Amino acid sequence: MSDIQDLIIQTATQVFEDHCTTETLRLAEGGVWPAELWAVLEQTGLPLASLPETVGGSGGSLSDALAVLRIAGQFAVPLPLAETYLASWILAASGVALPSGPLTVAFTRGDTAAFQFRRRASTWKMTGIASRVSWARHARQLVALGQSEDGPCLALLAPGRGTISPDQNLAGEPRDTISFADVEVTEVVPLAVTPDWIWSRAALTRSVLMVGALEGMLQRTVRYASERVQFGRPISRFQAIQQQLALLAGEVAASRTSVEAAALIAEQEDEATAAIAIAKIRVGEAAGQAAAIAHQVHGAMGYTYEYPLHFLTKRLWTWRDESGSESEWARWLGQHIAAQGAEALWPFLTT
Amino acid sequence: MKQGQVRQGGTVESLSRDKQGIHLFRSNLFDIAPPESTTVLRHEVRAFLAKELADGSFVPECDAWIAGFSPEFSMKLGQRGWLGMSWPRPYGGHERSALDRLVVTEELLAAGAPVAAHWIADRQTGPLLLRYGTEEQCLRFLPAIARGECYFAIGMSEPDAGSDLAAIRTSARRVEGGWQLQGRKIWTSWAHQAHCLLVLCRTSPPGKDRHVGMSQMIIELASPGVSTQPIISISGQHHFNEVIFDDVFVSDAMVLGRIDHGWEQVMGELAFERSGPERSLSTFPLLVELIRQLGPQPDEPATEAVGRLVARLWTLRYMSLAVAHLLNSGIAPDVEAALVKDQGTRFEREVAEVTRTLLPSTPALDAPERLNALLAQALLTAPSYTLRGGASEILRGIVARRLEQS
Repeated sequence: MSDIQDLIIQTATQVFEDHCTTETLRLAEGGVWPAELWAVLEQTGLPLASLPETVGGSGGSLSDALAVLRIAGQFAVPLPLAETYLASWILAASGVALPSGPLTVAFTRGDTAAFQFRRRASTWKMTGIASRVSWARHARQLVALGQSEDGPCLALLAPGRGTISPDQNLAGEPRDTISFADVEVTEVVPLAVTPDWIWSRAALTRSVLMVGALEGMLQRTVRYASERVQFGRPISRFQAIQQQLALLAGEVAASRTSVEAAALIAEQEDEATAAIAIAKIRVGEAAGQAAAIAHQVHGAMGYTYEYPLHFLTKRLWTWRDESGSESEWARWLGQHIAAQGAEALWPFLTT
Repeated sequence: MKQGQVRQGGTVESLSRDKQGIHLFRSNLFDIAPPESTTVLRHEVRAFLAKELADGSFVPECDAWIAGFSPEFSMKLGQRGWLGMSWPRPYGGHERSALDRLVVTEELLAAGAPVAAHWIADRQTGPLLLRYGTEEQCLRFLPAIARGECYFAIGMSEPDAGSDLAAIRTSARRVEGGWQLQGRKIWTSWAHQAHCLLVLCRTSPPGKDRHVGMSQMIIELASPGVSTQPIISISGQHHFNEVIFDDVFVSDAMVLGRIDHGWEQVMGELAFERSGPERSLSTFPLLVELIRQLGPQPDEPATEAVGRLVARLWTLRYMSLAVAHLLNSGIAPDVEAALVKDQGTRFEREVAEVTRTLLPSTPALDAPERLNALLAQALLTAPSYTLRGGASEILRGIVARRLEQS
């Protein structure tokens, strides 16, 4: 881990510690946009990590951005940070200068024809509907992916120019439906990355967030077990609890390892889908077991709204379903493995 | 609110207090791209294995690193410089990197090759000799181990001392020129065919600290007073033994390391024992056969099951690599190795359990169909995976203690 990354992690941790409190999370779940938190974060420049300076980014590697995201997951940060990174990567690759403010991306799985762009004299008209768009109602700009007569393309516009039907995931994070009917956009840019690339990078960001949430959950659970006294001693002294904590730590370590491997591969290769699929599968599987253990160790206290464990566990339960569930990715991977044949399995594992 | 402050009822505090969190894998993930020489080595091993398979010198089996005893095969590996790989040349080693050794061992494991004869000596006895052995001991044993000609067994567990290793009763009393050893060891794989046994014994009575007063001694199994009795496993296989020491003389020259300091030595030995990739690859031949039998277009439940298994194995492999990296950096990866072994051994069993839900089978060790034979091997050896080299419950205790400290 480089010195720069250490600094990035320290900065992100400090920002979230100071400005992402339980109160912030409660308000966010109630629909309040955490304006101060976003402002402070934007001021640090962290949302520009990994993005080339040529488009207004702050440089650095993919792993720098993912480090910020992991810490964000740890704090259950109620911001479209993953979405801002994803939108920015798409824009940067397509040669578009990065706008400021929170961003999000609207796309449909495996089908960039969520939006249709038609030429009208010197301008374009955009039509289409996309659902489960993260944080659409609070994003300043939306990267809308679609299709024109020239092929896959994107437009950058304010979500408010469309019609937003609010919706949310299990953790109360906005997952809105947004529709545009013949809305004018002045600039439509050819998409420089494939839909598969976008989908896999979305899965990578989701996996990284989940690792952060798992780590936050592990820390909190270990601390709780060492503080909660029953039968005259901290419950962490009981073997039954120790065994569960060890299992929990194992799932977290496995998750982190698979995601770090995927991130390294994504940094070095264009084709990282298999590694990302594996990370999403492994973290998704870990999430269920780990959240169950965390709640079990926390007892009744952890089941209350007041105790903040649920901000992490609800995210784990819902994030594992987003950007492809374990089942979907496992089917993709299994098909890939079966098609290559039994003798190719070991070479696949060792490349 | 400052870091760590909690109001009554925990209403206002941030979710995460520690800057770095509990991160069991302290090393940064190793370099994804290995040096060219390592890739060349990997392909050399694959070519060798392909030829051996074509010649019919072995058939891939589950658990072959425990059950597949073949002096012939071990010597072939020795001839190619694939044993004692990282040891100094004066001791018959080849001064190659730990990564190179890892590559060779995982290729052999994945192929289900019969490596049991040399496995213990190469994996743990040799490194232990390098760390604690005298020059004489190193010169006597290491070159022979590296040639694949000298085999060691593990002398730790006893009938009354399994997970509780400090409860051993095998003891040695001081006599002129050496020690007189009395006691018994159990679960000593291949002691009936190995040359030597590295025995943990008591040389001083346990004091307040039970860990003080133990020593390690190299016993030649052909010595007077040593006898072995087979222990047959549930599969009908014989590799386990009980070894009895009836006043066996051990010269001073055969004491390993320092008298009464055996505990820290044996902990180091266990670190070598637990950190290998064999803890997730014992049933790999079965996984390969499963995929072969499913064909290029299995149905959805099967593809999903395969995808999940492969994701787990991929992850375990990277975790193994991280442990090897720690070991190589001189860090004792006790907790990390425990964690990986716990998950890896559960995975090994899962391969068998998943296989039988996806394909019809009639498992039998002597079945003519590969799937049925491999499945029988896996099912019958599976209970041992989570027991040998440290029972999972003990390993989880080790992990839990580290969590308490962080």
